[in-house]
Amino acid sequence: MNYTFQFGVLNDYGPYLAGGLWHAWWTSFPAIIFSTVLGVALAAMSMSRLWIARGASVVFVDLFRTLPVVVLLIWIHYVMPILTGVSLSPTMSSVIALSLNGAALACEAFRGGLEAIPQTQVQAAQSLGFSRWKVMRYITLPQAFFATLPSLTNVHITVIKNVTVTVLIAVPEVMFRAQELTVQFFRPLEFYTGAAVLYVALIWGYTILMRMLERLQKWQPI
Amino acid sequence: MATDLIATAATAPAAERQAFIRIRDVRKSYGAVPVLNGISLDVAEGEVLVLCGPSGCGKSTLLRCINGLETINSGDIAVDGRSVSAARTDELQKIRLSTGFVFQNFNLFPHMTALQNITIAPVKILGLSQRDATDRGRQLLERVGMAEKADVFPFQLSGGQRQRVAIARALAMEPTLMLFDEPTSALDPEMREEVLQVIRQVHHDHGMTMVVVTHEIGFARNVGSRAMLLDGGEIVEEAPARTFFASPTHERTRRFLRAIVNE
Repeated sequence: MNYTFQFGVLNDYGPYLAGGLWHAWWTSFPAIIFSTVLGVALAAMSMSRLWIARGASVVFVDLFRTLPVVVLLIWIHYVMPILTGVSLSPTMSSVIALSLNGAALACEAFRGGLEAIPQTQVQAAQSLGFSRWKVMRYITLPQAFFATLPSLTNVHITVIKNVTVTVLIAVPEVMFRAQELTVQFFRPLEFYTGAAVLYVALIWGYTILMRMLERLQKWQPI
Repeated sequence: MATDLIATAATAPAAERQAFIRIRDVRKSYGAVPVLNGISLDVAEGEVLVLCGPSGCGKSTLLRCINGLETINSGDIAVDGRSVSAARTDELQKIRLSTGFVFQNFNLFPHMTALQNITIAPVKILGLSQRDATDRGRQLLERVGMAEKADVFPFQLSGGQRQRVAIARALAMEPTLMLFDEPTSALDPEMREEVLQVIRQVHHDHGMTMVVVTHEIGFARNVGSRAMLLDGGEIVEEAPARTFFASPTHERTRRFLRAIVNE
């Protein structure tokens, strides 16, 4: 190996590279929110008495967890404008693609959490006069939330990692900038290592945040 | 035909019309396994009916059918003149408002404190203000001897304490009928008495109609007005509680009572 490390380039261009994190976060954060909200709704639908709601949930989940994110992203950004005449900014397309994929994954996480709640909880609530919707709203969902948090964290991590594929449609996040700088300075090792460190730091920070959220649970299942 | 039925209902004998719970030829099976084989019985208002029987005899299923937690295959169950078995979902919710159910395994909501367990239904279902529900909740906790545990989560309570909170939770809806499904079976012997005492107190204070599935003979004899042995999904024997436990007429009942005394 006769590569000479010159991490000095990071002194000059590190801030620019790190600036990509801002774009990475503002693409993944809305996607995290949308995928979580949509995931809860889809999980609730999957337990509905209406076959059409259950069916819609299954079709959505199966479609968007089987579609590779790259295909979905390219399709939304380059194909949809041909069909609809509406073209979206790279960030907007990315948020949509990551949200749809994330929602399918989040739905499965929530569904697992909801199905783990004993049926006796539902019966206890029903015996007090709760409707199916109110059982979900006040009894099963709040309990499932904490049970789901660890797997929900995994879903969110996947969403953040998927931001790196937005390099394909030129969202100026860390990977895009690393590529840009590498082409200019022929320093792949320094810039891609820098990108790796930045993403690890972002995701690690996020998991710490989620662990703090897990600790807010004051009760224990019985 | 339809007019005949209405005419029959209108001219039904007074006793039958007054029955608070009216169960007619109820049949239920889980798949091919029959659980209830044509049960008919009436419970008058204010009466405490004790249901006994070996496990798998259908006593818990019957209780759950009265609250519409299980659906029946045929027959009819009516509570306070309203059919449970023919009720739509929203009607069933209304009927359940006036029926309290106490489960063998308490089934408290683990993510709520003792007080929240009691106030959630009055606030979210009856539309009481949080303040009124809290006041009422604290009074109920006091009544079941749990006042100092108001802000404790269920996992921090003993079995007997959990069951007392569960009884308070049911009482918070001011039910006219209480259904108890083996309320002390999951408890250590020394905790059973504290729960039975609460149930006695509730009966004494409210005089509400109760159906109790239990094997606590002493309790059943004192509080129960009538007792019944179920076996194989059928009523084997039915008598005033004291007679039932003192001098049962059926050999099956004698065998059953001997078995639970020797437990």
